[in-house]
Amino acid sequence: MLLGSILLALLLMASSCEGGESEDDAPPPPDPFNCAALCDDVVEAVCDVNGKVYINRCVAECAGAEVDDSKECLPCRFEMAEYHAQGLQKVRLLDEYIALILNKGVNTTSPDNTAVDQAVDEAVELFVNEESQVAVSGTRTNYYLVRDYLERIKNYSYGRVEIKWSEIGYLSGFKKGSDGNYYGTVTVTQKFSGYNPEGEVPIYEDVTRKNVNIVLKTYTISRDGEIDTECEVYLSDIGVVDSRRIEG
Amino acid sequence: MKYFPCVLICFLFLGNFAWAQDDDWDSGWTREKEAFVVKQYHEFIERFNFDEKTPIVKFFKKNYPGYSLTREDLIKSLFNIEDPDWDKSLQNSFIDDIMRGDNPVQIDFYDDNWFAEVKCIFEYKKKQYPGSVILKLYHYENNSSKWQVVGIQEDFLPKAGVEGPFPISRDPTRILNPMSHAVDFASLYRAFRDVEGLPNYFAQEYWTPRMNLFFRELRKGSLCLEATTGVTYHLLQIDGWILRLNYYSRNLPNSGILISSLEQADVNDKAGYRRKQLNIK
Repeated sequence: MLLGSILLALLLMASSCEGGESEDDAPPPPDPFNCAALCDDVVEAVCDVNGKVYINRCVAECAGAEVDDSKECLPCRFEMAEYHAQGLQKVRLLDEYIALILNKGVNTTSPDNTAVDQAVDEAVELFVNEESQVAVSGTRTNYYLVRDYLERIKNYSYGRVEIKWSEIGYLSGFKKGSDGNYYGTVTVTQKFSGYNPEGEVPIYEDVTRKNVNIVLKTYTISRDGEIDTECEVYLSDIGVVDSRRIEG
Repeated sequence: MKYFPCVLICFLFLGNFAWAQDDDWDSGWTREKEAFVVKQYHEFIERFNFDEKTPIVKFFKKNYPGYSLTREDLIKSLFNIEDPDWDKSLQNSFIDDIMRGDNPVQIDFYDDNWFAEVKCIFEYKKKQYPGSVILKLYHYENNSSKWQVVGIQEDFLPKAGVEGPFPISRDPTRILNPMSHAVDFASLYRAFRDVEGLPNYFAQEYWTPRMNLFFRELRKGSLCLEATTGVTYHLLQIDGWILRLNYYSRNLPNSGILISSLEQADVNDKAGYRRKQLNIK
């Protein structure tokens, strides 16, 4: 009898554990203003009529925003102009690396192959991946993978080189690719001067107009419980639009 | 030599004139040159639409504020004026049509019915042949886009082609990105060597036995893309007209992406153009 009572008591206790939820245990109703919880975190940026960016349409509409589908907008923290500027900065940095490679690392603290090899590695890091291609014009335009191009120019024999930039040529807006990245193109014009071994007389000069594809890669991150998007600028394919040798 | 405010009209009617030599590089001349040259297709669109933010409009506002630039000026500047065979009355008729007061025509990057033709050199069974790849920009509801191959022009493959289903492959990371045209489709080299991901670059709705044969030869490795030698844009989206655009590389203000030909065309003419000129249905 005692055993039966104990068993019954245990059964009742187990039942109360497995039984239906009480009002105190029920999860709170979803907060209609917690849009990050209500919407998924797929990055398909939309802008409202005031230009404010939302990570996707659900988040925008949940927040009561009026979406403006005519606006091209980036799901990034900064405005488009900032990423254009970063892209241009990377193009100029690439040219600095190219000048360093062509100058054979002269005027660096280690004027030997170390500086040049390091410049090649750092220049490649500016690109979205090593499959990016650089055009070289001649009788026909040939494309080289970026590392192959940089290795190739190591063999050019100039005493020194100068690369001068014109003002900014043209910046296209960013277009969203179906792979989720954003793509833009910057047109730049530069004057290249290659000098004799003494570094005094230019033996080759040209003016080249290039189109450089820029890639904005997007990453979703969690910040203070909310989904946010970070964007990183990289260089991609480089094409030669025009190239004219300057005759001395 | 400095430009006068009438330069945009002057050089159109009086002819191109040589620009200063490149030793003016340091004197700021390149600013003017950059403003006049149509450097990208996006700039062509802006100028065609008389967009206030396009470089040449900004340049004139800043440097020649007394000169009243018009849309007609800008559209005229988009023609290759070095071609002596232009039919002036046809050009004027086109401009009148575009600028009709009640509903002026604008073009957009995401328009349907425009194509890029990439002139190529292919290597097929160890011999080189000329050909072209025709591409179209696909635009999706989430405002993303990519280029896809919709046609091939070549004379080195058997005419009959090979029947076969479209090889399905859906890898969203493998695309010809929407700005590929700005670097003369350099990404085609990568795409045509991407044996595993090759189907992702072709448009299913344009699949034909000739495309299937081209595709198979690429995949086998007996065909490869050796070089690209230029891009022509074929604009069929303007009601009643077909435009062709090419890049003119010259040290002149009238240079860059310009209209190389203009013809009147109704819907049937455009269908015929797609079949005969572009080899697509």
